[in-house]
Amino acid sequence: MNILAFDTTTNACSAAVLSEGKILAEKSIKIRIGHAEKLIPMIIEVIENANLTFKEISGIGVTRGPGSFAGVRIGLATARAVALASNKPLLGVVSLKVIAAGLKKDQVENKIIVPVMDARKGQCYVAIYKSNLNTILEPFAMDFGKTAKIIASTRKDTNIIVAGSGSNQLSIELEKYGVIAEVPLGDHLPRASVLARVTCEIVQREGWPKTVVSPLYLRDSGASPPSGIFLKNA
Amino acid sequence: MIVLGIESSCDETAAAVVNSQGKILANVLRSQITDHEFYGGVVPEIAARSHLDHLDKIISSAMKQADISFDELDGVAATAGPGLIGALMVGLMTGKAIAATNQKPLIALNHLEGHALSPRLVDQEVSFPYLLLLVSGGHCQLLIVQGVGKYKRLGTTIDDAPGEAFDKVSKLLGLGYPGGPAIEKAANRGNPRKYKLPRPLVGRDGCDFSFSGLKTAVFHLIQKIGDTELRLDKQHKYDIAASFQSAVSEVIRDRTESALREYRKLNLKQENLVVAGGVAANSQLRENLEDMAQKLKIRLSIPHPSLCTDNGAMIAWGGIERLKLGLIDGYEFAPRARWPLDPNAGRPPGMGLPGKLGMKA
Repeated sequence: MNILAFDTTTNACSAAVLSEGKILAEKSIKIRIGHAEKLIPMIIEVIENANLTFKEISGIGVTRGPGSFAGVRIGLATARAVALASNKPLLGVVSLKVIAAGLKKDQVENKIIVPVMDARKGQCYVAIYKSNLNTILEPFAMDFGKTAKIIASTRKDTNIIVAGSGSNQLSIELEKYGVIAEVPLGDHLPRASVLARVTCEIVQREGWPKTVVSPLYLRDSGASPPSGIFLKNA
Repeated sequence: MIVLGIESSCDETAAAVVNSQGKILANVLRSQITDHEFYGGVVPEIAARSHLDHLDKIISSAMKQADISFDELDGVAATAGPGLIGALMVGLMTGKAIAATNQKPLIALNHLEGHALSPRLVDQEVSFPYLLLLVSGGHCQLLIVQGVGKYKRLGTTIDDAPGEAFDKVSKLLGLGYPGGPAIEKAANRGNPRKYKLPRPLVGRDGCDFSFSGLKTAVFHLIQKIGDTELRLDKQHKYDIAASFQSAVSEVIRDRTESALREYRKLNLKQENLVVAGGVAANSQLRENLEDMAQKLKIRLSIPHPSLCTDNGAMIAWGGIERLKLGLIDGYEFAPRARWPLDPNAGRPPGMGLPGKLGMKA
């Protein structure tokens, strides 16, 4: 099985090809903007470096969010179009799960994993996983303080490892509740090679999904209804 | 030559398959009107989300209708700007991905060029250089189309586009969204001479447009004749709609006549005036321009309303025109919210500063 995987949900852009359990090619860069320019050339490069063609790809893995709205859409629009144009299956994976899966096995043993992204406006995107990546709490968006409160009230006696762009802020909030969380060094951005492995595991266990992969924004569009005179004549 | 065209610059999600003989093999479109109706205008984030939710299905049904496979395409054209950046990204990434997957050339098309070349899709006799009036919800320009990729702007709006003015006046009158068809329907029952509204820039030198003053005049009129809650009875609304529509149409006609005088200085054997953009679907404007064309003896070409409003066929056709000339783009092409057709045209007199990002279109 040859899996093409790519991620553009955060301040990174990466693509990878996994074949029979081995990463054959990976490309990853850190960029704040410009994913729309980098992604396709990167995908072409990893497929070439893996000595494969688009036709030889068995399926695609993509992060479906959360992350920047534009980033989520760049990855998903690309993935859905590649799937359509090559008639190949597509699996969407939660970006936070990819962050969690990127941690080393010995790092997470007997701990719960809390991948957390800074979602701005004082909020974070966060989820909670067991060390085997089974979900304890599905992804949600919430204030850092409230998130800390929830984690502290339910998980006080468990060892917690927090990773991602919001990890420092969340660990500070957790300390206010007397919870000391482990914050491993590094960026802990989602990576396509990790995504490819997660995709492969899920597909081996459950098969490729038949349903459309939808984006996971965790926030509404922020639009507000019109006001003033515009309503009076209606 | 067969090209798939993808359009997602604003609130229409569209895909079409067109061949180089100008035959439209498929033309599928989903309007997002219902997604934005409640807000009285297009919400960029909602537009982007909606494009992503629907675009792949729309492309898939266009390919089925055209009864061809992705392998049989000669190229993929996608709108790359100008427009809403989040919306553009969805269509451009989709186009790039389809092109890359099947090793096809990509044409990252300027949306305005799609409109500008669309008359040649239906009327093969339209030859360069022709005079183009582009009137839509986001744009209002008069250009000489010298060839594919070669445009000379004669005039542009110094404030709003006419489609914007239609939307806002419709909102003020409580006629609903989108404003174009709503105003037109109301205007059919009203008296266009009931209220005197200004005709901005009419009779002035140059070919620029202005619509914001007209919009304000409508607002003041409503303040004058409406009740304390600014409510109006139906007939008042119809009469205002009719008076407004006729003002817009007269402004556009006057400015087009002014551009025609410039165009005629070229002393061409065959002269062509073409009209494109969503506002060209307005029947009063069409009639007014047809009358003008007859009086001034100029060959006029206005595509069917379905090809005037945003659509995938014009993008596919623009792709064919560029592909024929070998004008293709790299897969790294970045979407452009601002992308004027004529990069040499500066800021028209009277227009506010366009900001550090430069002219929108």
